[in-house]
Amino acid sequence: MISHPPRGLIASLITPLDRRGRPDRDVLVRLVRRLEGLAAGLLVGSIRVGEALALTHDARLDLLAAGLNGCGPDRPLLFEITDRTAEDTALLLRGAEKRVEALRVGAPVFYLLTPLIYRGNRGLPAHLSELAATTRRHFVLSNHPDLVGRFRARLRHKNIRTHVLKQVSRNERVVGLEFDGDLDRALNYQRAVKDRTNFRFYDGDERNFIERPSLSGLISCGVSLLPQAWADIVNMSLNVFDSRRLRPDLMGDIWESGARVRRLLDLYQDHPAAGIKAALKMMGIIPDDVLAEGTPGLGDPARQNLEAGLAELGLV
Amino acid sequence: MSKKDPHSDVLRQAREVLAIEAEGILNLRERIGREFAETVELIYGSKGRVIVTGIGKSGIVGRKIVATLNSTGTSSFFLHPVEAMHGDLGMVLRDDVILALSNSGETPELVAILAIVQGLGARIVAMTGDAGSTLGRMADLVLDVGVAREACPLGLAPTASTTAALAMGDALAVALINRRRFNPMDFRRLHPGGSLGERLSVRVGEVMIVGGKVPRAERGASMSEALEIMNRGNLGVLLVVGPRGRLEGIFTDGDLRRALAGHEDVRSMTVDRMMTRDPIVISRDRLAAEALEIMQAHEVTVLPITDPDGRLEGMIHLHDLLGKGKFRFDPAIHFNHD
Repeated sequence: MISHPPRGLIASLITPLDRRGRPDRDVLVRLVRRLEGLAAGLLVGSIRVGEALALTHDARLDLLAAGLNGCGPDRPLLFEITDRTAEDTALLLRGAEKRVEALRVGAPVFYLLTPLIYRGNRGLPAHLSELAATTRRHFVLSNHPDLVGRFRARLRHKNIRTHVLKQVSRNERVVGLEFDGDLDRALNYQRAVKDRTNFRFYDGDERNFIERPSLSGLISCGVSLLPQAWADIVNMSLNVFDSRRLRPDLMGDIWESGARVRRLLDLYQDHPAAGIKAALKMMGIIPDDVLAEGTPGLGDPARQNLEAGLAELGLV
Repeated sequence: MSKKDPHSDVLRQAREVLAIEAEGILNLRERIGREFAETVELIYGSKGRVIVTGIGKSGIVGRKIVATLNSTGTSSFFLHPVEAMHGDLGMVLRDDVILALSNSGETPELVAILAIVQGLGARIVAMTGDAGSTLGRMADLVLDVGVAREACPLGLAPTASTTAALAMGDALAVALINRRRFNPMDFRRLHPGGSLGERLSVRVGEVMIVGGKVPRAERGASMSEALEIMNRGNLGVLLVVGPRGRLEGIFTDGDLRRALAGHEDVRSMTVDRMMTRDPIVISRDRLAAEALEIMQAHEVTVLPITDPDGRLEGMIHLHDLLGKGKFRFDPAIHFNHD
């Protein structure tokens, strides 16, 4: 079993919903296949852009199955198991295990977990050990203080504390972290996991990655809109010593790609699920931009800006 | 409302870059271990050279590592992977150690030449940001120079990763200095453009050996006496002077060997019979660099210094010029010899 998720670009996919609000598996498979050769791995059912907390366990497990179906035997798949309580999270994990085993697919599966959504820092290492005891697969943690704040405004520590991460990193089944936060915390976290040579440290914030790229890679939702641009930027960052000679004009292309992804980021970053879905629909890639219940939608001005921006970039 | 400092963004960004780069090196400090020590032993024990190779920015870093290794006593040269494929691989010998740099560890040109190098029997050390890469797997030893984060937007310029690789190269060179017990005199010998070059610009008179330190004998002295003076001087040379201190000849270890081969009773002879007459000399107002040039041109290791009337004033030895002898190339020390 592959124990380390890939370095590079992980595409965090939206959850396409049909008009009745059910996940559209066929569209998801199309989105997965569209990124073939560009993303090193895929994330389905995320609680951010994937709106997974608004979905039933069955629907989330369907996303897992569709993701596995689309990504083939070699491409790693991340599936988010976070739910609103520890019990529901453990339940979803067991369901995911059953589904993966039943499908008998070759793709390596990693479980993404944002634990502070349903619990505090205290006892987190033990909690992860308990979860790990129910699966042979490996975990990637997610640290998103803003997201945690939306669910648990009164929680004192909305980040995984550095000393807690250090303890957690002693668990070999935790193999990476998706990080959103400031640079000082990022450096402290990296120091905390320094004893783990292959511990992956993904940026969960596209803008941070553009400015100061993590060399494990990026978990990106914008890749669905500009796959080649994001692939070039991430590859450039990861192989910066060696890649420039491949194409003499690569530097210029990267500058241009950087400007394009920044322009799009401005348009969707406040409401990534709604923004990406609306953009994909405008681009004719998905048939509907239905949002799950509770996901904030785009207002008319934002939608008009988005459409104008896509036109400016030649995407519609 | 307080006015925002116009420089605050620039300073914040600069501090962030420095923090990221410092962090990259600090993490290396934690990660180096057995393979680093084994690399030092491998290079130290090697009868060959350290051949550094890499392409793009890795090549630039590699060239700096070559310079550092060479200036600290480890023989090294840079091999460009593309040139290697077009014939330069012939420079690689089985006793050499190849230090291959690639951040990704997947550089095709590098991987291609290393496959051939393996066949030659040379050992490979990889300096890479990804120990699990093709390069990492091909190497006998891996120096992990991976950093967590780059400091440049869009990864357009390598920052923390090149800093880390450079620092690792320095760590290797310094560890080898200590392993070889490389001393300041060795360093001086390898830096003719530095302090030695500066010292070669002084006048011969400022650095020559004078007075009792110059092994000298009067014309007519016996060979027994001459040999005793030569032994005391420990320079393998004796200067023979005549009346009023005029230099008449030079007697060297080579002359002694020839005398022993051609004569049965050398000790009963006088030194002026066996000496070389009219030796090459230099005056005290000439540059030390000129003295070195004369020595090289005539393949001699010693030059007597005479005044315009041919009187012996002192002597200068090749080792003094190169910093290898017991006399350091330091005017102050030489004057103390009086």
